[in-house]
Amino acid sequence: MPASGRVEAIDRIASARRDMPLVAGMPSCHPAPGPLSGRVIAACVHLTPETVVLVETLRGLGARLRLCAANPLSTQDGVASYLRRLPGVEVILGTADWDGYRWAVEEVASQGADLVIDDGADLILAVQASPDHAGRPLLGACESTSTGALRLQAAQDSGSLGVPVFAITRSAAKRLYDDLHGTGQSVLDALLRTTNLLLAGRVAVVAGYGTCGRGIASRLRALGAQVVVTEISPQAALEASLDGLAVRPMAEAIGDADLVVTATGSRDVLTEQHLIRAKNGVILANAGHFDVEIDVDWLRGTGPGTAVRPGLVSYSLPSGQDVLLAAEGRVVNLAAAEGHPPAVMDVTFATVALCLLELGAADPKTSATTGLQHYSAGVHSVPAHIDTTVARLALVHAGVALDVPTNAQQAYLRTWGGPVRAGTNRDHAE
Amino acid sequence: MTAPTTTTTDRPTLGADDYKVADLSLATFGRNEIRLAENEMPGLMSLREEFGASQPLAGARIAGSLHMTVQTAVLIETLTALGADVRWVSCNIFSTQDHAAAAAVVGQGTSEAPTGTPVFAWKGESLDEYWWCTDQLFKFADGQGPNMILDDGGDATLLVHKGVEFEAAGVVPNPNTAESEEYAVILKLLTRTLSETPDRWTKIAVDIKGVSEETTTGVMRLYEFARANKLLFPAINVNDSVTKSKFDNLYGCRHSLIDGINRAVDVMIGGKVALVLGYGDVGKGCAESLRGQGARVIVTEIDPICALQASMHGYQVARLEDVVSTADIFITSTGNKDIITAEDMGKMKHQAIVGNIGHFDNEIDVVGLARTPGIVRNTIKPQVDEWTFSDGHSIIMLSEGRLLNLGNATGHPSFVMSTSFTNQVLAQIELFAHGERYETDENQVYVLPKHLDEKVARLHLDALGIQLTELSKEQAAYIGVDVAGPYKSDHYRY
Repeated sequence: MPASGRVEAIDRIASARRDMPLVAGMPSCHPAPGPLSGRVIAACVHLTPETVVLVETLRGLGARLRLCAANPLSTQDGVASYLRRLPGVEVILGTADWDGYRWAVEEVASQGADLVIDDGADLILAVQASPDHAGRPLLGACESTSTGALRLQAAQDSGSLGVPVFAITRSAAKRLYDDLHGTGQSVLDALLRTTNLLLAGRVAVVAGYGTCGRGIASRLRALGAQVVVTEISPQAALEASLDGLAVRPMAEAIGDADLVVTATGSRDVLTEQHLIRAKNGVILANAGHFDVEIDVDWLRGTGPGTAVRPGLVSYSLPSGQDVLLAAEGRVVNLAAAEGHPPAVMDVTFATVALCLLELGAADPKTSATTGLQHYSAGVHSVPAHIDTTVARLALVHAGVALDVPTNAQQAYLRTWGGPVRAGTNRDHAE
Repeated sequence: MTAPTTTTTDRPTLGADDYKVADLSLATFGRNEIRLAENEMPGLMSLREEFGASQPLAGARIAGSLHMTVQTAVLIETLTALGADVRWVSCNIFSTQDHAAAAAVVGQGTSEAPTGTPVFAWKGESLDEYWWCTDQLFKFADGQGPNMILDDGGDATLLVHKGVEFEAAGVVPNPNTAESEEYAVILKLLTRTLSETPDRWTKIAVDIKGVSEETTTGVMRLYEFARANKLLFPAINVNDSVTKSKFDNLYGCRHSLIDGINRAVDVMIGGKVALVLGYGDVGKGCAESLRGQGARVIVTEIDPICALQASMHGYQVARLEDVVSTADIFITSTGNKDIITAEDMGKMKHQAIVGNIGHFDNEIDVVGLARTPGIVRNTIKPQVDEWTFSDGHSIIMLSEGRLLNLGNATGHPSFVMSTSFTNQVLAQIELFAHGERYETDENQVYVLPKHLDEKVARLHLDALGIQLTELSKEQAAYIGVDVAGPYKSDHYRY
């Protein structure tokens, strides 16, 4: 390891720590040895500076950690070697391929764990499957991705999920910070970096009006674009319409579009049947997780393409138009800009840390752990009170003061049943 | 006219012929609203304070033709507080607020013994009544005419100019040849005055020192007169003060358009397609308010600059014929005529809402609509008519195509009218007390000098808690202005 690489990693970790006050500040709220004292956390995570801040916090809360890398390509060597030097942290890295990944996951799982942080559900399933759990019955887990949550849901449906799992994507904080504002801003950033297009006066089609689509649409409109939405969900289409946006089928909308951004989470949103109707010079970008929303293979099949700007390739269609594809159709905010700002990761990881405390902290009164007592085996949304706590922490760090209901006000609201704002996560969404 | 009798107040009691309003018993309600409006009209109230003692309008006889609303009552009482003698009418048959008119007439007196301003206006005048009212403007005490006009849309000014023109010709054209029903009414009125007093308008015109004009439409008429060298007295174009058109037209319409639509039909605006015809200052305000409610707004334009502006603001710009059957709400704001024809309305969606916020009722062809074979008009409530075509589909017409923000709601809010009316009062002072500045061989149309425009804005800052940054002498010198303003050149566009 060249010395310069580690120095750089240390700087970037210090910078992440500064930018993530919610996570970094958590240990100071708990007296030593910490509510996770004695717990072992197995984690499959991207080895980034932001992850280091989370790991340090979990250490500060008393836990020991065994880590493997969620994606060999996202592993940053300086970060891995920094983590290895932390007491109570083990980093297990295989070769940079699928076999190496599987080996590392099994290796981490073989020692058992009290809690798991996962990115795709492989580690949770592996820990659960490990014989006798190495003497540590698993209390619960956090899953970071929607895809992982879907796999775990399938496991639950087939009766093979034995522990409660919090789906981190199913939280108000995630919707608000990550999807609406994080994606909204970073997609705009990527579009401007790749295209340098004046958005005012252009017709911009946003495919999908979920939380990401809404964040993107509102920013495009704010810059003067005429936004058209395509949707398959009647609720989302109605919402777009009531927000004053045109809702049209893609096959029609594409003909007027100067720019199309896909944000559906589905596949085949822009295919040959749409693209042959496109206006000459239309710019295509994908903000969804996978590169299957735009039919990139078909585009590539039309010819070699010409790089017109960094990250922007022009394809000449047989129907005569030129179509410009941003970032090869990969998730454009990560591929052509810097992804989410650290503040977004701060909120996400604060949610992870609070979920782990919810599942694994010893109850000070009974000494029993709370996890299995309160949550059945299966996939759960992040509990509303954790969302509330994350929001409250974020407000404290932003210096925003809010009112406190009086006892009389709280009693008044309770007369309609249930505690104040006890409802679902939806109560706290955007 | 009955002889004025003196009461305990210092103003004479008005006789029964000195006013015509709907119902004087509404005066208490009107006075309450005027009192609330005064607090929202800091510009006018500041002028009362500044000029109350010096009485710059003493001797002025002002003929005012401007929507007789609560805000206008505050304007009228500011003019009288500065010494003017005032007579007033509405410049639109639907725009009078009867309680405001009553309170303006009653003044400090009582319904039994009113001592306020002679007002001739009520909501829902016929065209004959409207022009009868306008004629009353020119009948000050002792047979005098006005020496000032305060106009909105130019009807009072037009009447004088047409009167003078026909008196010079010695004949008024046959009303049957008039291009519109309304012009026929004007010709009838002038035919009568010509036979009664052949030099009436000529004498009135000589006395008039000037007119201050409120709105785009009236200003267009004035420039036409000036171009033809037929303007009989100098005019101040209040409309093009920055603190008028960039405030009243834009922010006023932004507020009152939605108010009018909601009071008229109370439909959900979110999700609807709204077509705004014309993207001038008024259209810009309309588009913004409709978008603010979640409508998808489409704009029509003839002017490439405005069309490009609309596009840069993120609106689709289309032609009426291409979207006539898809839009739910149509708002005309062009200042032009024949914008929406009866044929267009025949192609609209069932229960499409059609309204005009431009000054005159010729933007939408209501007459043509009424002549459509088989059409049936069903009045839902005052100023809301459903017109059903023979094929069964209907459209909903607001205020018979007259400006709906006044017809269906109460027009602009007080604060924005304060910016407009403060310009009006300053223009009246300029023309009356500093008339020499505007005397030239050929009468022209002026705008208020920039420092007065800035003054109007300045008078409204305190009420909103606005803290202005002051230029240092060095900074002022650097950009070549005085520390106290004006800060911009005359052609700066804001």
